[in-house]
Amino acid sequence: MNAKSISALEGMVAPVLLVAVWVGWTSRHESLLCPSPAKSVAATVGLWRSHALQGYLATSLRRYALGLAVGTSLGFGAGSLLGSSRILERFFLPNLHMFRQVPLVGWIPLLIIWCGQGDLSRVVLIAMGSFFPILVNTHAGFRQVPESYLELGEVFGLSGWEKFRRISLPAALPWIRTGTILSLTFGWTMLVASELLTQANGGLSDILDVGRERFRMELVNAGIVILGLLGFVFNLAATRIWSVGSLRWRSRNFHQSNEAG
Amino acid sequence: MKRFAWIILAPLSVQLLVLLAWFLLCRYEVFPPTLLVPPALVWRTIVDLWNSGDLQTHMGWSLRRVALGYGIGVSAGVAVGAALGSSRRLETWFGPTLDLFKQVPVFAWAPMMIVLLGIEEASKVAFIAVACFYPVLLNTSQGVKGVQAKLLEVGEVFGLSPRHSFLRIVVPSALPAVLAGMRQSIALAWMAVVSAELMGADSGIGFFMTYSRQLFQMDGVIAGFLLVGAVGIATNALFGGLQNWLLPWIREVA
Amino acid sequence: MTFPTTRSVLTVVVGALATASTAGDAPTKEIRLGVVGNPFDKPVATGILGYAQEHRLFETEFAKDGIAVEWDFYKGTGPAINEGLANGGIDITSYGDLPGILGRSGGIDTRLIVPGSVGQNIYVAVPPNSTVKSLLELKGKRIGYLKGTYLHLSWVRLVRGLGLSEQDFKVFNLSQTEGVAALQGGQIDAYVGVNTFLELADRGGARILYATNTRDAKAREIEGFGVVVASGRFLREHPDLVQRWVNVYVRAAAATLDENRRDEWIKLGTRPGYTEEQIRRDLGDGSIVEMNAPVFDERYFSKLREGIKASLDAGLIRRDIDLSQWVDRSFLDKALRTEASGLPWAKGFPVAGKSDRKAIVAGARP
Repeated sequence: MNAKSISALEGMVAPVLLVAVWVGWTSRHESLLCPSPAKSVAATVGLWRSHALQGYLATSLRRYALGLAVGTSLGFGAGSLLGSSRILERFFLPNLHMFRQVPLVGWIPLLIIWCGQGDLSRVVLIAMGSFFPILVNTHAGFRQVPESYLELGEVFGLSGWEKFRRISLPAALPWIRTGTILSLTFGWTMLVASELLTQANGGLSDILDVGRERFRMELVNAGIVILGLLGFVFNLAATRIWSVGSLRWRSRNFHQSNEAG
Repeated sequence: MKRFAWIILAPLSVQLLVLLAWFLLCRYEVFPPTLLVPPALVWRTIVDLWNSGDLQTHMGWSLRRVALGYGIGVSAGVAVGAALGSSRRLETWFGPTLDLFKQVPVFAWAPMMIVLLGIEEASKVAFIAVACFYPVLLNTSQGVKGVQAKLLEVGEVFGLSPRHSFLRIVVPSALPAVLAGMRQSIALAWMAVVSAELMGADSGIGFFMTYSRQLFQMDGVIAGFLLVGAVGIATNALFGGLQNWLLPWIREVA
Repeated sequence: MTFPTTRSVLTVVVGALATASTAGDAPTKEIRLGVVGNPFDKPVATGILGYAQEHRLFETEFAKDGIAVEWDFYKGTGPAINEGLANGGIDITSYGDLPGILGRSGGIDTRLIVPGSVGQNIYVAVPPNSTVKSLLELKGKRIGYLKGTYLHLSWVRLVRGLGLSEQDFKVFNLSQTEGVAALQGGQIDAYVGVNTFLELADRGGARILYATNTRDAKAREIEGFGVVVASGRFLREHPDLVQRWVNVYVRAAAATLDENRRDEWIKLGTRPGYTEEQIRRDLGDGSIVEMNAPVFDERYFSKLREGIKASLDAGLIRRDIDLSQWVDRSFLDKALRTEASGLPWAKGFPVAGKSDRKAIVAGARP
């Protein structure tokens, strides 16, 4: 057994221990507020069997996908624009940064009033959530492309578009990669927020909501696990996508950033 | 001077344009006036709130909760982060577990807190603390880990005790990262308190927004929103200033 | 039936365009009725509207012109309906006193075309093991209710009678479902809700500290009432449709308001999921006819005026309401002449509480 597997095993001890303690405790003192893991598993299975879970999943994923699509495309577009035009950057970047500081959940009452109780308000929130990480990172990525590269492009007689496509874009790729990963994660967070803070919406967070209203902790647990699992999956997917083919070499991440935008 | 004008006036002009657009949209009633309230009316509402003391009361409650939750979350985050960052062993054993919990979208913790701790202060402070915990944890552990081995060796050469080594080498090296984490956390904390108040509260700025909405007082909702935004912007600026003051050798890039 | 989802995109646009347009009299394809949601989330109305819904009276009437009738149920009840009215998504709605007053005072363009029911009860419930014995003991404690609904106004009037104000309590904005959960979890000390508490109390899930279904003088003073309003724009553009709608409404009232057929009325009330027992106890000693008769009489106007005054005094509204501008009785008066002439209740009642139930029963006999 090499060192890596050993540390992996060591890492698993804590969670396994936690679950063991949980099971042990609840087998003696089961209460409403502390149901056994089995109960939560049963709740999840029940949701799956009754096809409720699939419905919730579909609804949440639909909103997520829509919001992501809008947010990331707008964010990328805006980031590229601001990254290439000093003038636009001067006018809009400080404002966008300021705008970024406004807590997105504060928008919810306004969005509901203006966009109705339907999905529009949630999709807008998710779009806003996924907009900023990509914007900030794309902009930073384009900004750090060394002038000398671009000058070289001029020397070769490349057009503006070609310079963008063949020089700037590849150079900015590590940052764009970070941006997309952060966007996906934050977008997922905003999906949960939008569902929790608007009523009766048929999404995954309904599991949490019902659990909270009816004091059924096993549902709350189930909801947390499901949402966490999906969050993990999306994070993984986002990271993996960038490892495909030539992108892997291009986007090797020299630039570590936790800044979620 | 011209540069100064660029830096200040350019963004300012955009803000003024937005204000103008808002004013015009209301003037020509492009949207129902009950839903898009004119800026003048919103301003008057804010002034009224200030005069009646309601603004201070609600804001006070929200800030109080943030202060408490933030304090707890950040302290825990720094402590755990420092521990994990300095001890390989601790990281191997506990890192994966923390990673596991990190996957859960932060807002998902709110219902659990409410079920366990009720709808009063405790659940809100707990939720805020949880929200603040991770950014600080991650940044601190990275910051501590990143303390260059060379510097620590120099410390050894000079015969510094572990405690001294910690205080005089690790802390200043890791400080930028810790502050970055704290800055992210304050934004998250403010978001957490507003959402907790939107979910169920008897006071606070989020409660005020809900209350205004129920009473169909859109000026109140918009006023609340502006106040929430203002605090978010102000705290971020405050932290930026703090970073620049404490760490003048690291200039903020935007 | 849930919230119109694709509609949400359209309502903002439509609302904008509609408000901006000066003469938008394109032939309308449907009439959108906004209805208050119930704790069971079923798209079913009760009372006179319930009767009309069950027998598809509106649909039949307007099918002649190819106009559809859409029923939209709002889970957020009154406050959500105000938002719907404000962005042009509702044409006619029947909802509670406080939301109606808040909407009108807040500037929504509506006209009060038909009186709603009088005698909406509130139930102040406490956890089953609570030691609280009187309302005064709740001072400073945690109370839950849905703000902006008739429950809110009735509560405010109730505590004012005790010399207290809303600010003497720690108030949490909670829906009925949330409220029940919070009560049972000990997170709040009392909740002001609807008659589903009767059944909950029977099961031992809560204890009713105070209820207005006793129909005593105090109860009759603070009880809630309803308003049926039409959006101003809809009324101006389609007065004929509004008139026909009111005609159908009065027709439904004529068919259901009979003291001798109380059981049928109670049956109507069970449509969403309430039990007959609940409805019966909620009704108490009240007269169906006197509480639901759609007629603009002194009974109703006195309630309306008092409701507005109470809202103003409690600081719930900032601008007074000019009833002469809000109420448009032309439609109802005409409808009463054509659809309800000869019916004793069409002449109206004196101030609420002073009517004699026996007399009404006698008079309502065909």
